[in-house]
Amino acid sequence: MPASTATDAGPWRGEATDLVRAVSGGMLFGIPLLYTMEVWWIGSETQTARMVGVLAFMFVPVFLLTRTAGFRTTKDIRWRDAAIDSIETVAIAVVSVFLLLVLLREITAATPLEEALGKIVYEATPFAIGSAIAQHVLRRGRAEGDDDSGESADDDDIHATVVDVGATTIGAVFVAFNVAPTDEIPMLAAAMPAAWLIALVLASLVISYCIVFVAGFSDQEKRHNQPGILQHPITETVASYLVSLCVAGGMLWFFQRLAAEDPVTVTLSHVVVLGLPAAVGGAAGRLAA
Amino acid sequence: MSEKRPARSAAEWVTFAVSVLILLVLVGLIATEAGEPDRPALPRVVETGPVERHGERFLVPVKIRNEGGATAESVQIVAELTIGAEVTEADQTVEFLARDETAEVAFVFDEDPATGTLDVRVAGFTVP
Repeated sequence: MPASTATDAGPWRGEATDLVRAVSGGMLFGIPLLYTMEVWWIGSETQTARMVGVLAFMFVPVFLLTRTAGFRTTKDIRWRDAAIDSIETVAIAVVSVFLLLVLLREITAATPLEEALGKIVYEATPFAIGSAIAQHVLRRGRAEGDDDSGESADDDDIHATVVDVGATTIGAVFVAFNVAPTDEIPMLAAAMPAAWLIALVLASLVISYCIVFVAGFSDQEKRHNQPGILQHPITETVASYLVSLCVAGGMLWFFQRLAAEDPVTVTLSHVVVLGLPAAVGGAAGRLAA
Repeated sequence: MSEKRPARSAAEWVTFAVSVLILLVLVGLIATEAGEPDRPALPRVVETGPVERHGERFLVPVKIRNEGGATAESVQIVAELTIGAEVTEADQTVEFLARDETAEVAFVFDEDPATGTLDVRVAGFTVP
């Protein structure tokens, strides 16, 4: 099927884009707390009555934010639309957080149901708030400023690539710096078998791709016109992920969390675990650049 | 930016229906958990061994399960190995043990526990 514009793409494609945008926004705001063991513990020891309370409370900020921002490109003028979108936002947060907790092995087949529910409800709160402002945070396409450089000379390409690498680095530091020195990184890494690390790498790539190339852009044309030498979306995603991993490694080194005598596999697992928040930040950074 | 929102498409209604379903399932699961009776935490040693020998050391894996109805924090497990008149003590702490959760710890001894008597028990925990 040829590439189509947003309008002929039909409502299904547009809806999928909106949902990906909601998940992307949630990631940005929710990832630091997904990497906080205290939140897992608070979730674990929460009584069921309180879980219902938290779930109900979640709707208040989500509803208010959906009225002004939301995850859709349309504006919710009517209360009813905002209410429906709020329900969707919370449901998206619940599902996304569940999948992320499984990915991080905080929910496994051995986790008791009540504990899993508590973790989901608490982690879903920041995620839902992030989803509810997704449209505001992720709408700005970075290509707008760069597009008028019509004669894409080599200098421009290199400049654009430097800007992209810089933006990825800054974004990665912005989101992952407050996670880097914490004990959660070795804790999560220790519980992860090799297959899980590979899944984490793939998830990081998919999430980073979605943030930049699905959620951030409303029209197909712009996203392919970004100048730079790494500009195929897949190439850019992989290259930026590698930059994010380097930044993650650098941050771990900065906080003296890497020791020369550690086995390479241990170092690598720590870098990959921190690589997810770094990749999310890096992707957001490229949107803002 | 503030264009009037068009009528919801079929795709948007599907999202809404699925969302409602997801939240109903979530609330339903919470409700089933709420039906469980309130019992205090009761972490217990459920399995000790088998002893594994690694060179000069003997490794004793121990499984602790919280069979109560509430979460236990800082669960302290004490192992006492008595060989003749000599008593070796070791302890371990499990940070967090939710209801029905099982944790595994390991004790390391220099002597073969098979040559004496090994007593492993939960000494205490913090009520959160």
